Amino acid sequence: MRVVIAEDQVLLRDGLVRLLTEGGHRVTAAVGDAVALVEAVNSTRPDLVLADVRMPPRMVDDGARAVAFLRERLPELATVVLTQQVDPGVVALLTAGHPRALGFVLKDSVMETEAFLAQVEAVGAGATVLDPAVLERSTAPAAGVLTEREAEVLARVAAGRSNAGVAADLCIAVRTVDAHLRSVFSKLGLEPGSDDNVRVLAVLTWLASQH
Amino acid sequence: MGPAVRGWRWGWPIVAGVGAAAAGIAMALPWRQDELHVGLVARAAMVASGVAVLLVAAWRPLRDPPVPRTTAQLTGVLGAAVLLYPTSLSLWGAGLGGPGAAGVLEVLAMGGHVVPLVLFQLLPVVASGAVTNTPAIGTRSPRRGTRTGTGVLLVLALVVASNGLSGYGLRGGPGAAAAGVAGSLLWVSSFAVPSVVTWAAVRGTAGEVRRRAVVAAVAALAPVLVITACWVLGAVGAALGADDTTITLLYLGFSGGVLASAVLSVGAVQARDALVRTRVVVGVLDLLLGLVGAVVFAWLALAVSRDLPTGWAVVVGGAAVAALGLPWLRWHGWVARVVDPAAELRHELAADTGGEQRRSLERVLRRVVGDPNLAVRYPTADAPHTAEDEDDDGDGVVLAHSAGAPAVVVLSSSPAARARLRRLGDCSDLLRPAVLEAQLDQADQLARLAASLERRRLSQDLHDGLQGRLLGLALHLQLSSRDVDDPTSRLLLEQAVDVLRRAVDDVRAVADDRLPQLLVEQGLGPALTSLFGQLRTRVEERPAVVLDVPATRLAAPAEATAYFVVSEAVANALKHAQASRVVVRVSEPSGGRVVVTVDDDGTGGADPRTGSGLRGLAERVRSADGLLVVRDGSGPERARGTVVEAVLPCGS
Repeated sequence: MRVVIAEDQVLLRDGLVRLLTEGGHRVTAAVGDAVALVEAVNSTRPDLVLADVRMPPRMVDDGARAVAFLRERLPELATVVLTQQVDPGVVALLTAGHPRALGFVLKDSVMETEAFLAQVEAVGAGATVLDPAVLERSTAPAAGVLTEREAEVLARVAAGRSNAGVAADLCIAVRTVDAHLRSVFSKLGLEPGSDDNVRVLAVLTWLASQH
Repeated sequence: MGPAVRGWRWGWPIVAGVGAAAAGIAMALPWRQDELHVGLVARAAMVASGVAVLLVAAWRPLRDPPVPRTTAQLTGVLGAAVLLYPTSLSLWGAGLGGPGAAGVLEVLAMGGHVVPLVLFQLLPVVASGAVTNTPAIGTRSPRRGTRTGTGVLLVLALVVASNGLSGYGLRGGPGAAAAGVAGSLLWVSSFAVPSVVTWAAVRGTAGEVRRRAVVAAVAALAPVLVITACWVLGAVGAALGADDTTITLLYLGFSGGVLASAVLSVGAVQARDALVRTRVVVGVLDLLLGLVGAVVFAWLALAVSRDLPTGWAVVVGGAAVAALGLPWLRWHGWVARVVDPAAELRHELAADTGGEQRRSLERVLRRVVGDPNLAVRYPTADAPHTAEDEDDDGDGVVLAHSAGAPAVVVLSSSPAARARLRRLGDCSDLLRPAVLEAQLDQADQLARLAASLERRRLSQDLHDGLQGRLLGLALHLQLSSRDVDDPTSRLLLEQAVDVLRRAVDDVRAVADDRLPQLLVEQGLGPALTSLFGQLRTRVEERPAVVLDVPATRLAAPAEATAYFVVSEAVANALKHAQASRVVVRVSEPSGGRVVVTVDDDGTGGADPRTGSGLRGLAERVRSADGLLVVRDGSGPERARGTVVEAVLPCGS
C-alpha cells in the first residue's frame, strides 16, 4: 500500500514511517503540515493518507480539512485520522462525501503497533474504523433525532459493545436492543445488514449529525 | 451670602437678649386694661418661646454649608416677632403713651399674634421645600419648587383676605357679621394649607429626604394641634370654673406651637443627619399622635362634663383615648413604613446571615413591593446596566450604587411596584452585602473562566508538544527493540517503552485535567465513591471496592496524591492481582499525616522494584514528601493479597 503520512511532530512522523515501512508498506511522502499534505498526495497519488487532525499552519483542524478536501476530489483515497477525541465537526467534515475507507484512531494507540497496523490496513481495504477509545473520550453526544433510549443503545454500540452486552448494560432484552438499533439505522438512513460496518456507520452518522 | 450669614452668628442671640430685657421691663409694669387681661404666666411663656426660637435660629448646624439659609432667617424673624408680642401687650396693658402712641400700641397688641402665626405657617412650607428640593440629593423637580411657592402664596393670600374681611367685620357696615364669619373661616382654613402642602411633598421621596420631609410636615401639623389642644384644655378649665385658664392656656399653646414649628422646621433642614434617624422621626410622629389623643380626651371630657360629674368625664375621655390608642400601637408599623419604607427590607435582610443576601433581597422585595415577577440585577463595571436589559423584564429602578455606578437594579413591569421601589430610595448601605456577594460571584466566575481557558491552552500545548515527542520516542524504541538480539538489552528497551507509555498516559491525564471536579469540590470520599462505587465483583453482586474514608477535607495536594494512590493501587489489584475485593482505608489526619491503605485479596507478590505501575506510584508519593510501603497481606497461600500503604503529609 502506498501511504502518505502527515504529522507535525518529527519524532512521531519518523516513527510512523518506520512502523509502516516495517509493516510492508511504501511511504511515498512524509510531511509536517496540511498544505504539504495536499501537494504530496497530488504528486504521489497514494492509496492511503495517515494524517494528524491538528497540524500547522493554524494548529486547529487543518489536517482534517486537508483530508476532507482530498477525499472530495479523490473518492478512492483511504484515510486514517489521528486524533485525541472525536469532534462532531471533524466527523461531519470527513463523512460528508461517503464514510467508506475512513478511520478515526486515537493517537496514543500507535504504541500498540500490531493493532494499529491492522486498523490502517483495514481502512486501506475499504472498511470504516472507529477506535472505541476515541469515542470513550469524546463528549457525550446530546439526544438529537434519536430517543433517549436509542441514544443510550447507540452510545454503547459505539463503545464496542455487542447487542447482548448492551442488553445486559441496560437491563433490557436483546430483541429490544435489536429493535432500537433497527430504528436507529432507519432514522439515520442506513440499510441494516447490507454492510458489516453498519454499526460503525451508524455511530459516525450520528456523531456527524451532532455537529 | 455666606459671610453675611456668618455675621448673624451672634446676631440672633443679641436680638434675643435685647428683646428679653425689653419684654422683662415692659412686663414689670402693672396691668391697667380691663377689656382683656393677659396673665404674667402667659406673657412670660411667650417671651421664653421667643428667646428659644431665636436661639434655635442661631443653632450651629443651621449654618453648616449645605443647609438653605431661608429657613434659618425665617426662624430668626419668627422668634423676634414672638418676642415683640408680649412686650407690646405689656406696654399696651400698662396704658402707656400719649393718644398717638397708645393707638399704635393697641394695633401692635391686638394684631401682634398675626405675624408670628403667619410666619410659623410659612416656616414648615419653606423647610419642606428646602428639603425636598435639595439638588445634592438628586430629587430636584421643577414641580416641587412650584409647590413651595404656591403654598407660601396661598397662605399669604388667605391671611390677607381673612384679615381684610375680619377688619371689615369689626368696623361694621352692611354684611359685617357675614364678613367676620368668612374672615374667621378663611383664617382657620389657612392653617390647613401648610399641612397639605408639606404632606404632599413627602410623596415620592425616599430615604433621608423622606424623613426630613416628614419632619417638616409634622412641623406644619404640630403647632395647629398644640394650639387646639391648649385651647380645648383651656375650655375644659373654664367649664370647670377657672376663669383665666382659657386665655392663659391659649397663649401657652401659642408659645408651645411656635416653638414646636421652629424646632421641627429647623430639625428638618439642619445638616446633622443623625437627628433625622428613622427612630427619632417615628418618635416625633408618635408624640404628635399622643397630642391628638390629648385633644380627643379633652374634647370628650369637655363634652360629657356638662352631664356627668368631673370624675366620670375624665374616665370617659380616658376610655376614648385608650380605644384610639390601641390601634395606634398597631399602626406603629405603618408609621414606620411611612417614614422609612425600607425598614422592612432592612429588618428582613438583617435576619439573613446565611450568605444568601441576594436571594433574600429578591424574596423580600417581591413581597414588599407586591410584584412576584420582579427581577434583581447586579450590574458591574464589566457588565453595566443598559437600556436593552429593561426591554424584557420591564423598567429598572436603581436601588443601590457602588462607586457611582448603579449596582443593584430592580426590573419590574408594574408601574405601581416601580413607584414603591422608588420610595425605598437609595439603599446602598443596606444592600452592600448583596452587592459584595454579586461582585465576589462575578470575580469567581471570571477567575474560573480564566483558569479553564488557561487549562485548555496548557492541555493543547501538552498534546501538541510533549505527547507527540514521547509517542515518537516510544515508537522508535519499540521498533528498535525488535532488532536487538541480546535478551537483556531487549528487556531493558521494553521496560523503557513501558515507562514511556505511562508517561504518555500521565501527560494525557494532566492535559485532560482528569483530576476530577468531584475531588476538588467535595473531597476524597465522594470522588472515590464515584470512581469505584459502581464496581461489582463478577461472581457475587457485591461491591468490589470497600471504602472507609473520613469526611475530613485534606490539603489539596494531599487529596490529589491520595486519590492517585488509591486509584492506581485499586486498578493494579483488580487488573494484575486478580483481586475480587479491595478495601480502601484513609485514616483521620493526625500529627500532620494521613495514612492511605489499599488492601486486596489478590495473588500478592507485588514488588515496587519491578512493576512500573507501583514504581510510578512510589515516585508520585515521594514527590509529595510521602512514603509508600508495599507488602504482602496475611491471607492464605494462593490469595495472600497485597497491602499498599502510603503515608502522606496532609498539611493540616
